[in-house]
Amino acid sequence: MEAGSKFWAKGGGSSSEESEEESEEEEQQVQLRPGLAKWAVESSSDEDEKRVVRSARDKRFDEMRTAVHNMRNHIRIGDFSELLTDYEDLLKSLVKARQIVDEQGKPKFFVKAIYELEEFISTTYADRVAFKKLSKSKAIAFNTLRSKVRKGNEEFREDIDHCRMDPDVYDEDEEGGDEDEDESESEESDESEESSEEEGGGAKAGKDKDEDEEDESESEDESDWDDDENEEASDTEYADKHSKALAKWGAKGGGGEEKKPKKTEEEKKLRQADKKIKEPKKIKRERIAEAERDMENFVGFEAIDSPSALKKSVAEVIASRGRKGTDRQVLIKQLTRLLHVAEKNKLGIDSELLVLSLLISSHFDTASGVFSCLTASIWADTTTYVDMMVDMLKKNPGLCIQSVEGDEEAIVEKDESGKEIDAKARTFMVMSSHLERLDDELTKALQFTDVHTPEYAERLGQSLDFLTLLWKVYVWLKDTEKTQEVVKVALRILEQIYYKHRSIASRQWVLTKKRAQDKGWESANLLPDPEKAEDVVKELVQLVYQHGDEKARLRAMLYEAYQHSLHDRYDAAKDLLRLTNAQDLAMQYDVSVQILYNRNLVQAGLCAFRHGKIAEAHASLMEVCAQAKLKELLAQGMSNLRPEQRTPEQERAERRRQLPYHMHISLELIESVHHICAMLLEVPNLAMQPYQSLDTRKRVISKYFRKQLDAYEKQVFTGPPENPRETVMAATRALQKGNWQECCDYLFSLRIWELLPSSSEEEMKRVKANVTEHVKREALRTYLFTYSSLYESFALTQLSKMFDLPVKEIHRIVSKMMISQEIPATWDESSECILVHRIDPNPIQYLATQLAERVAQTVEVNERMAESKKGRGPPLDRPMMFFQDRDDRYAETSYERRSGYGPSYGGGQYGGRGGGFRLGYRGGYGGGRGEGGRGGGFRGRGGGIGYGYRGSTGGGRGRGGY
Amino acid sequence: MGDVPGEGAMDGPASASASGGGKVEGIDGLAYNGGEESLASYDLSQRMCPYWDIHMIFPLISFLEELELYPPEHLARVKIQLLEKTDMMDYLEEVAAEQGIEKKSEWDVRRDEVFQHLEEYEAETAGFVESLSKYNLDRQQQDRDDDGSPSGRTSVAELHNKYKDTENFREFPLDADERLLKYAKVLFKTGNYMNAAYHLSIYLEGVCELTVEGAHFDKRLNCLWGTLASCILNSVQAQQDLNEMIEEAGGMNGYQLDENHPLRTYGPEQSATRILEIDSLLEQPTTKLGKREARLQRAWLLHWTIWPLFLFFLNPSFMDTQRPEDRSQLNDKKNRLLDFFFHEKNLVTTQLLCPHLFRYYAVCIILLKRRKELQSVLQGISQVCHKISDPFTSLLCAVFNDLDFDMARYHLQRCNEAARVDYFLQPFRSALEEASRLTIFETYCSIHSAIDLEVIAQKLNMRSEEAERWIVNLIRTAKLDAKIDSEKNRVVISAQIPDVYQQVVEKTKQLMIKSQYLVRLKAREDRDRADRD
Repeated sequence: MEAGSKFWAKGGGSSSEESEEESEEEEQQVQLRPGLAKWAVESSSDEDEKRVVRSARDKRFDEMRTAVHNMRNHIRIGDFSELLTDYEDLLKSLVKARQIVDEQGKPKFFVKAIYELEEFISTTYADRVAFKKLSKSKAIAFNTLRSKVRKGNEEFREDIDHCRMDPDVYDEDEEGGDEDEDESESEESDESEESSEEEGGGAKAGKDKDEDEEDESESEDESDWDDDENEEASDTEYADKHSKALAKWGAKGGGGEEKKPKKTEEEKKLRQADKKIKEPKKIKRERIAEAERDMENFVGFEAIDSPSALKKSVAEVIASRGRKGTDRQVLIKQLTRLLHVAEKNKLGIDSELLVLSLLISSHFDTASGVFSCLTASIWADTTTYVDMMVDMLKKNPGLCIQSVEGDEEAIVEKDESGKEIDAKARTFMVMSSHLERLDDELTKALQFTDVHTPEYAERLGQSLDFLTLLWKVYVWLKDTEKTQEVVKVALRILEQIYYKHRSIASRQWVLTKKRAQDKGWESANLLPDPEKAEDVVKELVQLVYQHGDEKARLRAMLYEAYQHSLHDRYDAAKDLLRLTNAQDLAMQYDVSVQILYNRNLVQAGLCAFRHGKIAEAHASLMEVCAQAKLKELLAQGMSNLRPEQRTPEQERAERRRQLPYHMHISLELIESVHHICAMLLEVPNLAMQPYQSLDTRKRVISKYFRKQLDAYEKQVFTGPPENPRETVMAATRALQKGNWQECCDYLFSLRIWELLPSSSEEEMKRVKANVTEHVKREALRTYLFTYSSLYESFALTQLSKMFDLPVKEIHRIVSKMMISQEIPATWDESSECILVHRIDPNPIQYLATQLAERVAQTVEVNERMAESKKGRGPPLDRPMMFFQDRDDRYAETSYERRSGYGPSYGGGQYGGRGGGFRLGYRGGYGGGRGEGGRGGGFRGRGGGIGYGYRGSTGGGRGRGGY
Repeated sequence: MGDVPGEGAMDGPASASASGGGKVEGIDGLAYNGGEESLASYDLSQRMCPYWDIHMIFPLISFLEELELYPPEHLARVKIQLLEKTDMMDYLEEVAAEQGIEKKSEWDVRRDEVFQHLEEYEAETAGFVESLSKYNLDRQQQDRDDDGSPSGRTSVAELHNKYKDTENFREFPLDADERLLKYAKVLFKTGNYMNAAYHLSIYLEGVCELTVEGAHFDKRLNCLWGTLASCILNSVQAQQDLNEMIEEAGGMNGYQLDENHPLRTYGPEQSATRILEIDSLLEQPTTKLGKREARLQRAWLLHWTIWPLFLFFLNPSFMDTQRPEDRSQLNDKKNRLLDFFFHEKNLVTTQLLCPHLFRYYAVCIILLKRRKELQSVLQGISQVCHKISDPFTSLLCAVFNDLDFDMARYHLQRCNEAARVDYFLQPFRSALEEASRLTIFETYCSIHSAIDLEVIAQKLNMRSEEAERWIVNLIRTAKLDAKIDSEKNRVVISAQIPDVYQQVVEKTKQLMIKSQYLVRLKAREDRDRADRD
């Protein structure tokens, strides 16, 4: 009122008419007040009419508000030219809104805005120093703006002055006076509050719904508000008419200009008063919007005082579960509320458990589909609830989850038709299924989270919390008869720890304990001793062996074998895998078991490599590496199949079984080790070939490696190696020359040595030394094969110096080569000198040998043809294949490889040169290669696998003579 | 391991495992107190006993008693423990009396029971056996009349009906087939192996072939195990008797077994036959045993194979007692048995379940020069070398894998000791040593162009002249293609450069046979096609 009176004072020449009006209005206001509370609650019937009025006003004001908003932004950045347009826009929109403005007065935010602009201009202008620094164009823009604003603001001088005198009024007004803006603002804030809350709760899915609801309540509110307004309007119908007339008059007459603001002011004050009454309600709405909705949703929850009543309301609540359009978030909130009620009103632990169980389920409902997972916070909440549930069950052994009344029938029915499941067993089933679901969700989360984000670390941390929970359940169930559940839990624990080396595992347990203690969980004390990480695995595995079904036992066995391999117990791992027929068994089960088996193969291979068992390592790794499907076989990345090679379902299935990143075995490591092993075996084998008769020359240790080597040798320019594969190939070249030193240098330049699992510094050195030994040995063999034809004799000591090997070792190696008749040589009597016996056959002898071989081959081919006619043998070795449909295809190729051997012989047989037994290996090999690929043509059926093999080795004999 | 050849399931006497637990106990008893530490460590009996029938352990214990490797009271205790599980009450009492152990009253009760069973079963089954043989004769007669189409199986009840009105019919119960098995088992348990073998043969050839009841796979397998056990034990017993007799007579003097000697009726030859039968039965895809069980039984079978193989077929003194006309047949059996023994399946089984058997594989290779299987055996040994340490396998590895002749010499010595305490190797210790020496020497020669006599003598644990004489003998018997250079005191090996002509001959030698085979195959196919059309 004070502001009003000042205004009046200023307004000087007011007529009595106006004052009359004024008093009238005041009267009305007084009349209005008592009714307000009522209006706020009840809605009037003539809503529609008023809405129209409001929206017209809304539209205009929105325009202005946008302009104001832009202006403020531009003030902030000091963009004068933009400000000019903004200012003009603002004035334009004011003109457009003239009708409303005439009716209700200038909106306060408008006055405030132009006031702010003026202030900004004057301060900028006042700061001469800064002003001078402005660029020329800016200065011009500023000057234009300044003059424009000065001219334009002339019209609103009074308001601006008033605003300057008492900016607070305008401030407050801006918020309170214009309820529309306020509304939208509060709405906004409400929303943001809500959404932040939701983000806290983590349910994106629920958000839209929530907003909808919010809107609903908002519009309700709005209509309330509208009621007020309209009521007011209808009550002041007379006054309105009057004021309209006045406005018209004022618009025409010059004095009206002054009256209009007065009137607006008056109205605003009225509104303000209204607002003050409304305020408490508003605050309530803003601050505890949720609670308000709770009121709506939870009608009567507080009053629940008996378990049966609780059950009833639970039934009501969950009836909506799973239905389309149900807000899961609300469901969760309702259930949470019910849980509190149950707790508060002491409705018994049964009821609590019931609600809890449903609550957990509804939490799980928030993530639907196989490619979405629970968000971190929901997951954490759920874990807490499951933990609560476990505690309850633990403390109350007789407890069981009851069924909700509504469901009763269904459950009973199920019991009758299916197995007899008593409530208690069902309770444990529910609990363990909750645990499993949690684990699955976490795995999914890890699968679909980018490993380089902090979120991944967070999720990984959560897995430790989960481990605590699992362990707690395990310790508790271990001594009960719930063998099925214990096995499940044990397997889940194993899944988390089996791939960890003891050093990492113990750190993991330490960390788990720490996290649990930080959170104040009692179960922290139950956790096993970190030093005994390996024993934990053993214990769990034994437990599964005792109680698990066949599949569980197989998994446990694979976990155990993996641990053996990881901890350098190669023999134990190998025995375990072989004795139990793991491969055959794994083939019988689902893909995840097969992946586990493949991981085992790889790990066993790496272990053998660390032990220096090159052949074993190669055999093991070859199974997974040879088909260039490593990623797919280990589920560490999608296979690069073209879309037509698999259905979308297969692709989705493959995506689902990917392993989280922290479980990966380094592919680079696997491939490099595989290559190194293949190199060590294949290089002497290649060098040896000229000495072998035709049929043994066929011996190929690694087709894959030969293919790679071929490709490498075909390069026009051989640059320094750029990737691990090329490095090994470069090493191969060195080894082929017998240069072990260079070979080792290449090999040790690889980055894999740090990656070898379980490698401490000494361990790494040991492995490296081991590899060096192997390289030296194979280099010696290769050297002897390649160059012995050029020597009459070798001195043992000289060889020993060349290859840095002890004399005894060289003696051993060379003797072995002699005895297996790999080289035609003997020791002299002192065993110090190798005598090479070579007698080159004369041409006719050579031809005779050739002929004999050729004839023998013909017969052999015929035999094979006869045999293959009798029926295809089943493929002997079946590497792991996942896709059923591809299984057949594989059988084809595998068969090709095996019995297709015959036809490929044909290639060699018809092929001309027949690979001279005296010809230098290299010459024969290189010369025939070009045609070699064609040799495969005889096979009729081309298989991608067979090609490289035939191309490279069959190629040795080419088909020139054919 | 206890549940292999059929614990309860097996009604044949080979219910070795019926007392599986006891065996292990007994063997543990042995383990406590090895008299001579090193020698006892060569003894494999503890590892092998779990794979044998309880009755097979007694000869072994007797052998161990002679060796005095273990304290006698220990062995006696084990023996009594084991005997209590059999029905050989007299033997039990005898042993107990020796040890001054009080005779238990329950033993008498059991003896009575056993006698009662024996009489009972004998009476019950005699009629059945008669009827069965009569039926068999009739059937053959009928088959001959009906132009060879075999008639179906009969059943015990049918048999009973058919012959009950004929004269001389002796009544038999309708579960006579079961009783026959029980009878054989009691016989076996009382140590009457020959009779047991006889009755089981009847069962195998009669009941299994002719009746519905005997058609079952499990019964057949159990019976075979039973027969095998009976044959093995019978031949051991008979051989022992024979040896005693020869000793009394003061030498062989060209003694040859007569037609019905137990060694001929149910001896090593029959054992070999049964072994091969069990082998093929285990391989049948229709076995319901499962992979694991089949593998376990295979391990058993391998352990049992060692008995006839080493005690008889490889034992020169046994072969000498055979009539010349039988020898070729026996040799054939021996080779078949060896082929079975070295079969890849069995090598894998050995590798997985019973790596200690590699000793016998190694011995076979050294003794018989089975170079063909050398590589696979070596590979197998290298796979399991972390599990076993055996002088024979080590010798093999040293000679063929590491070419370390000093090591080989060391192992050679150990082999001698080990052979002394091994029940199966003990009879041909010296032959074994000789063979080992030859193996080393041959290998050494093959990688050297000339050898100093001194060196070789040293490597073979011989004196120089002895070695020279030995080598001269070798050269003379054409086992070695070499000459002795007396002046330089060395052996010069003739260079074995592969002759081109030889190579061509080698390569083309097989072609003829192979081609013939192909032609035959083709002809058969054509015939088949013609038949179909």
